Amino acid sequence: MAIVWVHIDALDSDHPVMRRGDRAVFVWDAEDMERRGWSLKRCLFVHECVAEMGVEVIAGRTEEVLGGLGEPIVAAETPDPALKAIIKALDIETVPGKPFTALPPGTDMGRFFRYWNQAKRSAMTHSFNQ
Amino acid sequence: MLPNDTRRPNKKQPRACPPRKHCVSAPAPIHNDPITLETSRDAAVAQVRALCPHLADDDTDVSPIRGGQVSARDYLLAIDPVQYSRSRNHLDGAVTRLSPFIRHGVLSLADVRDEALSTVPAIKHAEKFVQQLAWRDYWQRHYARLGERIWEDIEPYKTGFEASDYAANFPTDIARAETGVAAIDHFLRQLIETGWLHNHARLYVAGYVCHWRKVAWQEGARFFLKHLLDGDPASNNLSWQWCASTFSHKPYFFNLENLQSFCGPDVDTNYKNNKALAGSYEDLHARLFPNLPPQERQERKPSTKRHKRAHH
Ligand SMILES: Cc1cc2nc3c(=O)[nH]c(=O)nc-3n(C[C@H](O)[C@H](O)[C@H](O)COP(=O)(O)OP(=O)(O)OC[C@H]3O[C@@H](n4cnc5c(N)ncnc54)[C@H](O)[C@@H]3O)c2cc1C
Repeated sequence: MAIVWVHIDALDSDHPVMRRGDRAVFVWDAEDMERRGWSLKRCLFVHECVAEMGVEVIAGRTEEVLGGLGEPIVAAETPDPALKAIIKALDIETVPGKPFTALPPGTDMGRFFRYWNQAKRSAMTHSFNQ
Repeated sequence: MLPNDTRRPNKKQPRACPPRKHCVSAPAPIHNDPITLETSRDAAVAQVRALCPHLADDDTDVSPIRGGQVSARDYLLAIDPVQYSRSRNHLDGAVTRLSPFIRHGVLSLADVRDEALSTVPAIKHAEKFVQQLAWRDYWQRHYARLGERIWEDIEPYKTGFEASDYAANFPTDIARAETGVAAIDHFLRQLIETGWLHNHARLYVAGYVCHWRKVAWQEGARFFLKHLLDGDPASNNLSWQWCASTFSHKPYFFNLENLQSFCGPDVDTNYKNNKALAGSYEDLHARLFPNLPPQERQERKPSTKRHKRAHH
């Protein structure tokens, strides 16, 4: 089993990635929070979410902490470029979240309503029926 | 106008402002031993301060919205998609305040959609709500493609001004909620004190910052990302660009009459305290965008017109 890197885009004990590892680690990366310009209330919100998840928390620079764990790592998929850079640098496997829509390949994303026309059918369907 | 996959962002734009990389303070001590997070609020605040040496001493506001799945469930169980579609553009309308939880993945869009579909008598009653959820999915997909280029102007401004005409610093009076425009100060205070704002209030603030004050959208976006619990560069920056007109075919602006029609009694929308916002759309257009040809007269129902534009 791998280590699950719990990151700021997926603070959910129920995310499919959580079933892929036997140890889950959140890195409290104050430098990253500073780079993002977060105020106290934002940092606190994340703190409360992580505290409730009950996962292991290590303070430090994310890449250094994860790199030092010495085990294969899995993480939730994310569009965030800073998180993606770490995923790439450490060769982390990513796991998608629960799907919201199933878009046909080549969907025109140029306008919201073109996207919506393609997305609507599956977006309006309960996960049980997808 | 929304971005087209084949279009390149305007490479000449002078101002690309990803979160500042080179101004980090002295590194926080690295403890590679696990730490135990405090669970009571006061202790958690003290721990966050200790863990985040960058936080300024005067940054003391704590949101009434608590993080975590227990809190998220309370908001989730309160959603009412039918009322939502009737009232969502009003500042006291039945919006959900789920955004901080969705932003950090505490709840997925699928979780929220499933809950919405299970509360309505027929699926069509949830369509407006699910469509709003889809805006987030749509912006996230663009973010995955754009990466840090989300900080660049996607298109030139359509305001009659160049990007370089917009201030590259965030004015202190706005940061302190002391603009002297009562309604805008109200929204800014709410943002700073609670970390959440109604979509329409975000539009008003963004319109004011970009067009009344001629501040670059990147500065406003950064200020929002500092305070919004749901702040995320996808929804935030692309919405700011939509207001600024670097991601739409015209700038977003509004007038006092529009504001009065969407605000509840707790916002001061008196003329004498909001003079800068008063005027017809044609007058304001001429005042804010003097280099553009005059705007054609609009029908006398500005609130409906702008309301339609404010949908996203
Ligand atoms: C200038 C500006 C900046 C914004 N910055 C952000 C941001 O940083 N993060 C963010 O999540 N949203 C942002 N929005 C979009 C929107 O204002 C918020 O998602 C919404 O107000 C959150 O409140 P709610 O949860 O009550 O939304 P509801 O209306 O109850 O909607 C439910 C959920 O749908 C999604 N949603 C609804 N409307 C939008 C929208 N227009 N765009 C994207 N997602 C939407 C959100 O996840 C929201 O929680 C911004 C809008 C503007 C105009």
